[in-house]
Amino acid sequence: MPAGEGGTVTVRVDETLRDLIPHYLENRQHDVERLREALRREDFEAIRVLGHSMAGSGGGYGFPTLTRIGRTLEKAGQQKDRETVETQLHELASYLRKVVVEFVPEG
Amino acid sequence: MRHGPAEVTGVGGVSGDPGLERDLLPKGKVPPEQAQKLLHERTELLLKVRHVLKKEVDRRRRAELKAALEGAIGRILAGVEVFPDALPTLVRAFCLGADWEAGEYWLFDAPRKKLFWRGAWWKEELDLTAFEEASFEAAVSPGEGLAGRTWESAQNQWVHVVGDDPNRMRAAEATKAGFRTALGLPFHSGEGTDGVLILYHRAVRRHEDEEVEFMAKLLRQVERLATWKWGDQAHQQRVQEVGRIISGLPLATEVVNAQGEVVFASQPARLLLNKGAQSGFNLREFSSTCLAYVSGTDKLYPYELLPQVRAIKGEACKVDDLEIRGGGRTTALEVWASPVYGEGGKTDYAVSVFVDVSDFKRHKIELQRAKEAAQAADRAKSEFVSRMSHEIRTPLNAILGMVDLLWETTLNQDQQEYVRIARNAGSNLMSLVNNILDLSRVEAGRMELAATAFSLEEFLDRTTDLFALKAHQKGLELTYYVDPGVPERLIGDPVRLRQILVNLLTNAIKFTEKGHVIIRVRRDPHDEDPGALLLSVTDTGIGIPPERHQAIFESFTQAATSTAAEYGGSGLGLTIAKHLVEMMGGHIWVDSAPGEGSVFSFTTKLQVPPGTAVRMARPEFKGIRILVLEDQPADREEVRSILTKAGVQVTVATGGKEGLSEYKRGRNRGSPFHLVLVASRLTDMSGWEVAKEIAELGSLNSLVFLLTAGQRAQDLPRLKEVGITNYLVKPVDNATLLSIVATALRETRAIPRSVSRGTPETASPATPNLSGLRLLLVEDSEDNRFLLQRYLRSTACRIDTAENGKVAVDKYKVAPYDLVLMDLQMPFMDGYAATRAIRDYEKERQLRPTPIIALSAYAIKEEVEKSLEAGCDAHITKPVEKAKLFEILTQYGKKAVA
Repeated sequence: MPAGEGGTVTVRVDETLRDLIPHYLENRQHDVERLREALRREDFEAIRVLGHSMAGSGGGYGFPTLTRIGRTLEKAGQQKDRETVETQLHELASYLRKVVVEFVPEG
Repeated sequence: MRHGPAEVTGVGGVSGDPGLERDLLPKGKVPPEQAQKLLHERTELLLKVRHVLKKEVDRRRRAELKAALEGAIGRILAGVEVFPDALPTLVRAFCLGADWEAGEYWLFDAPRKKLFWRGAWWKEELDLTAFEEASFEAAVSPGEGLAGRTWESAQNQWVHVVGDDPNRMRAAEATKAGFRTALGLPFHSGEGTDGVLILYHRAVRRHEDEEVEFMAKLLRQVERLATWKWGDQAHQQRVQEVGRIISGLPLATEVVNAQGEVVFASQPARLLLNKGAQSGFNLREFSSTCLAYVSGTDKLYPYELLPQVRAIKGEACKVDDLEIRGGGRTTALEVWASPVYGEGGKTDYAVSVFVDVSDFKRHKIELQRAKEAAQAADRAKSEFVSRMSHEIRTPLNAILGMVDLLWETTLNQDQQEYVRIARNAGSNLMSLVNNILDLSRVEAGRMELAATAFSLEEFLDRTTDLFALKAHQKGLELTYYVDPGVPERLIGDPVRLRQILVNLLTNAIKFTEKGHVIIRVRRDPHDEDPGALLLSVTDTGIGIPPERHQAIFESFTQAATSTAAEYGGSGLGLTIAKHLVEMMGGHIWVDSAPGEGSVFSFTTKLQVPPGTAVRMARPEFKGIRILVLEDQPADREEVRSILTKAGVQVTVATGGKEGLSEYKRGRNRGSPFHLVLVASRLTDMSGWEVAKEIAELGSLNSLVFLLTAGQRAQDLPRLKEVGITNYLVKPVDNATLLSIVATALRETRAIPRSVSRGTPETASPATPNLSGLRLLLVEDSEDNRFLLQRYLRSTACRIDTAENGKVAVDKYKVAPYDLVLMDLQMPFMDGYAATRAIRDYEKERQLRPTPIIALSAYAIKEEVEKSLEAGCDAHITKPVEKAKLFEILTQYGKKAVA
């Protein structure tokens, strides 16, 4: 984890994406709920797909951490590794609480 | 029939027969007065009886006559015979029915204005063979003889003198036959059938008006019927004629009428369609009777779509999807049908031709299969070669690297020689592998051309640089000339263009022992387009015999097989050059003769960026003053020339002292030099001393050092020490000199930075301008769709999105796109399947393949390969980086738009 429990994580994001970010992060919040629900149902395929999709988009928006978490979730889903899913879920929820976006000009 | 009238014959002779009178009188003795009375009474009675009898006979005779005529008429009407053919029947009927012993008929030949004898009939007991023979050639003019008179008068002629025929032979025969009575009857029954009928009897017969009238009346009736029938018959005869012609057509041909009924069919059509070609067969039953199916299906050919039916509706058409199945074989047909219009534009008939194309179709399929197999094999070969080349290059690079390192170590003379040979062999092998790789890529259609803006002179400088050392080693002059009128900047693929020139220059230098190698760039004199160029490489080498001028551009060929042994090389260079030139829309050729050197020329069509100058001064150098301190006259002149052409005000000095005083003078004048180019070694003082003095007067930033290649190694560290960043190594080239000068000027702020910015080369990261490009973004993740759309916003392209492969393929089929970004893992239909579907669709429609760029989650080799296999052109790993995306879009987008 890049920062302590109480701190914040500052992420620099391309200015041009400013209006997309709130919706994007909101969707990740929904992912947390979806992941919890999937875990409860032990639907590892759903977890794999959610992870895959998160991995594919995170870095593009400027959140490489989300890509990393996504990849781990995808792999854990594939291997039906409940424990890893739980830790990643925890990390994702924590990250989303702490992340602060700073917009920087293009380039 | 023959016996009836014969019985009646006797009755005709009652009045003058003494035997009959005797029979009427009672036998034995009778008193004379009583006998007289009795005779009178009996005679009266007899006359009454005779009258009754005659009436009866006439009635019966007429009935016979009528029956006979009706028979003849019936035959005519039944179409068994046309009127002239019925004349013998008629003659016979008249003879039998009206008690005549013989008859003949004549037909009038209008053009010859004569009646010709055409035939006769006579009773069995007569022998008229001689008469008939005499008649065969008989012809009479109107008015001559009985036939001629009957014809001329158009009246019945009853005569008792027979033998007045103008034809002597006939007259003699008629007399011999003993005819005493003749009746001529004219007839007019239509075109070509006007004539005369003549009946004969050996007895002297009394003219009986009633009988003649009756016969004439019957004849008129026959005429009328025949005239009517003749017209119809003529028509039918023509129809039959047409039918016979169609029947003989060598192609399966069928004619149907407007009701869809078969009227005619050719023999091959009958063989092909059997019942379906029978006269009167209705097309409604065609498909079910002939087992006509829509090709390759179990669907009977729909009635409305039958070409014959469409032709009836007025459409000339052709179908090639009709199959006739029967007898265990399927006949694929091509059916051509066209309407035949009658009066008022209505369709009277439809004519169809059935062509058996089974063999053709089978061959076509076989050919297609063979072609696909050959192409696949060829692709596989190229791919294999391409892959192998890659595989070979990697270890080869390592080997070459190690050999280079080995070269740097301390080696004894033998070792040096071994390593030198290894290095040479290694780099030869490398260039061979590279050539093979390029050729296989060109042949596999994998080679794609970029569209990059570049400076022509810079391009030529860099290209000749590659050969400068080699040319120098061989003592060859290597230069280039660019004609005025050639644009300074161009858009094209400089990498591939260089490859062409490199191949030509390699050969030129390889095969030239003394003299020069010159590159010349001109406008293509045969093409008005400003970007159409003609490039040539001229050498003074061994030359090529004319008979090899074509072959040298073919794979693995050199001017002579012995050439390979002497000069080495794979012989692929020119083949690749030719492929590349052709890809660039040009052609390549050679003018050469042994011992006279060679000129390799090629044309190419490049684009010219808007606003490009045609070799003109650079605007940012306007008003710039530069001092050049150089004691070598050639170098000084070169630098002065380049800078002056670029628009710089140049002052030259031949030595250090002279230079420094010029420098000071400038400052004192209030117009200091913006830049000083100084050679590191001057005759009177070193460059370093000059630099020191200038540094005291102004800034080191305004100094550019001119180094010689030989002293470069010693001078470079010293430059760094002193703090001079800008230097040039002699001999200077146009582009490098101007570029270094521009950099130095920007550093001294003599020219603003913005002036040189904004050119396509320096603007980076460049946002590709894809305005007008239609892009399909296929991505299941909404987040990624948003992100990519945002990235692409600045490119001004039109973006459609699809959330899975299925939607993408559907959208693609509605209207193909210029570019597709394809996610690989998606629900319903993944990117691989969608790509394949798009490629299939393109192939089917013969569309130009749209660039498809795969977006994949992993950079793993298998995934990349799998996407390329599916038909993707390139591959980007997610999360997508903007710069990478733009790079790819620049490469593929421009191509797509172009």
